[in-house]
Amino acid sequence: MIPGPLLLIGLPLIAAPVVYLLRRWALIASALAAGTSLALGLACLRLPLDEPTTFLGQPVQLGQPVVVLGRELVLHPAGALALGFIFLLGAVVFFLAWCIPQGRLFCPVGLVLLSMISANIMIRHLLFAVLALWLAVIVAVFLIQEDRHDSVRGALRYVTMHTLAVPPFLVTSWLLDLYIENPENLAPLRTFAILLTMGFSILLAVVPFQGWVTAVAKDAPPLGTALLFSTENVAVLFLLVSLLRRYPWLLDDPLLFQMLTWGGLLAVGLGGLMALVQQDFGSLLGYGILADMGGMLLALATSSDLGMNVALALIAFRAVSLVVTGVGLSAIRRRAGSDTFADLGGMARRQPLATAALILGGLSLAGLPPLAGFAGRWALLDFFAPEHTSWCWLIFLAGCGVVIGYLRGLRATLAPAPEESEDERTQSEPVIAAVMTGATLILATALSFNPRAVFSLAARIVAALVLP
Amino acid sequence: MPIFADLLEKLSFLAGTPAVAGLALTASLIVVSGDWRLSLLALLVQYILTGLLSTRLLPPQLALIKIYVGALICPMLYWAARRVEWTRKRRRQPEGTPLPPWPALTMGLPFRVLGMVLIGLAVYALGPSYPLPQVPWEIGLACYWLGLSGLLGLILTDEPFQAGLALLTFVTGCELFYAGLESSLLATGFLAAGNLLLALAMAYLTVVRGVGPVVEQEAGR
Repeated sequence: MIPGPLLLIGLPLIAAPVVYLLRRWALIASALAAGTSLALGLACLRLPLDEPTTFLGQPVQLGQPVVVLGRELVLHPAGALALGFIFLLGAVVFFLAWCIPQGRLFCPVGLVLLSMISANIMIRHLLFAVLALWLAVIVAVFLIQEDRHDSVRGALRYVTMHTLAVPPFLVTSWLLDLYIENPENLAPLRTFAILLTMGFSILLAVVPFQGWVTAVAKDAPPLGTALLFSTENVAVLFLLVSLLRRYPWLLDDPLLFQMLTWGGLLAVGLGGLMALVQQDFGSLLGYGILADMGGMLLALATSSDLGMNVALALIAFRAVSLVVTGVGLSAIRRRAGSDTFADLGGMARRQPLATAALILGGLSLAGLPPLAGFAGRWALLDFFAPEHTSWCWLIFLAGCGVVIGYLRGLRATLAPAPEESEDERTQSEPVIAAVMTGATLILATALSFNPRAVFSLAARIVAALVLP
Repeated sequence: MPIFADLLEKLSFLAGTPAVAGLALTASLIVVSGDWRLSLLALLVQYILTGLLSTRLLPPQLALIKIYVGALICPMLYWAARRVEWTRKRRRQPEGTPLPPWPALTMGLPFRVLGMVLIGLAVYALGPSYPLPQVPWEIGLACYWLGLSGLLGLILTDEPFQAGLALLTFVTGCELFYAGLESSLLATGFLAAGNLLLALAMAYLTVVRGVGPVVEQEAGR
């Protein structure tokens, strides 16, 4: 009988080297990576946790715990749903990487990343969960950097900031272990609050620790950005909520949630404002993500079930927006060799589908109706409208900033090209890439008209992971 | 293994103030020096001294792991730096133009030295006022020195090689402190794996940053 944790951590790790060896055959490598991810995603969402069953002909029990050197790994219902989402997202981006290349390391490193994130979600002990996340972050450096030679800023900032976040968790974990051994020997609550605030502020990109978000969005392959920001956010949210569920007295000190509130407001404001003035799609994407993450932080800062529900739904809708805009951005970067507005004249005519995906994905990220991101943004506004009208205005204005940023980008792609060779003028989008881009657009639009599936998944996760 | 364990025991007389002073020196060299060979040698010595100090907090087998990790990390970074240097020397330079220095220092030597002096003052103030729990005071000073020097090094550079050394110095300081709090094999193993992966990532970024533009230029030519 294969226990669930072993399967979810081990299978991607086994598949990764095979995918790496097959990287020259993009279709086979992508299909293998996507197939592995899809199978694990469906297993998490469909298979029962508490009884034996079969997976690819092998007997498994997903809910069976595994003990490694005295530390337990177990897949809980909430973890299964979250990992189901993460693996399905992985399957989508790995499959898209077949016809919209993201670099030779994208699929194998992506699989290792998913394995580490699975470990993070299934490990019960805070210290090892954080260390698993740290390992995932370091592995992600290879995914972010890929074949870029002009800049290492994104990868460097990403790994540096996340490494700086680890020590506060090391000390918190030790203090919590002391508390478990002797509940009367509790360190001052303020010590916990300060340490956790430092750690989570960096991991959740609370202003002023937001620099890595825009740097990663600018440097990473666009589908890698979608994978990173979605999976890591889910993992960090899980870490936070699991901690609060196990030690509800941590909520007695409001420092962490005050920081999340102020940091969220600043992130929304800064993201919207900076998006207005960007001159390239990479940075614009980064500030769009920052504004959206700010909204997520505000929802999270309420420390309520409904707030958590909205935060998770925002991550899911953001993932859809990022995949759509990422498909377009990848195609355009590949064609033009740049994503700077000034270099993209005539792109809307030469690559209409890619341009449409890029702009519509960005507008969805901004929460413009009737696109997919609107459902999440509406839920956020609806959540805050009764008590925090000023926050709603700020979120709305930040969305407007991102919309204007993308409209400026659209204008640049509609402008005539300065000089075009005959080859460039007649060269059209590759058929397969165009078909995949079109399919992604259609699926995202379909989701925007029926967002209940996302809200239902978020509600099921929150119900399984009850907040104190 | 027994040879290293014996050696560690013979060197145990250093596991006190001499090791702390040595760590202060190595961390300062990493931040101040512009010579990658010297910085890398300082990093290797830093891992050995940290291993020695760790014998006061951890079982010798676990303390040895830290030295092994250092012994694996330094060749990785050496290979990366060497590769960058070979590629730069191979690159055609216009007649009479000297090769620009690598790694490029964003701040001058006096500024870096001043920064380290400030770090020294900060450690002098923090050590007695906020002693770290569960570790002897001189090890606490070493933790502060390594952690703060690492942070300063990160602030002063955007070169992946030097940022990597600074980040590893920061992590070493935190690990030394954590060794006083917990001595489990799993935690030590996880941290060792993290250090090795971190060094690998930094070596990769060093090569990408140093070699990539040259390769692209040659491909374009």
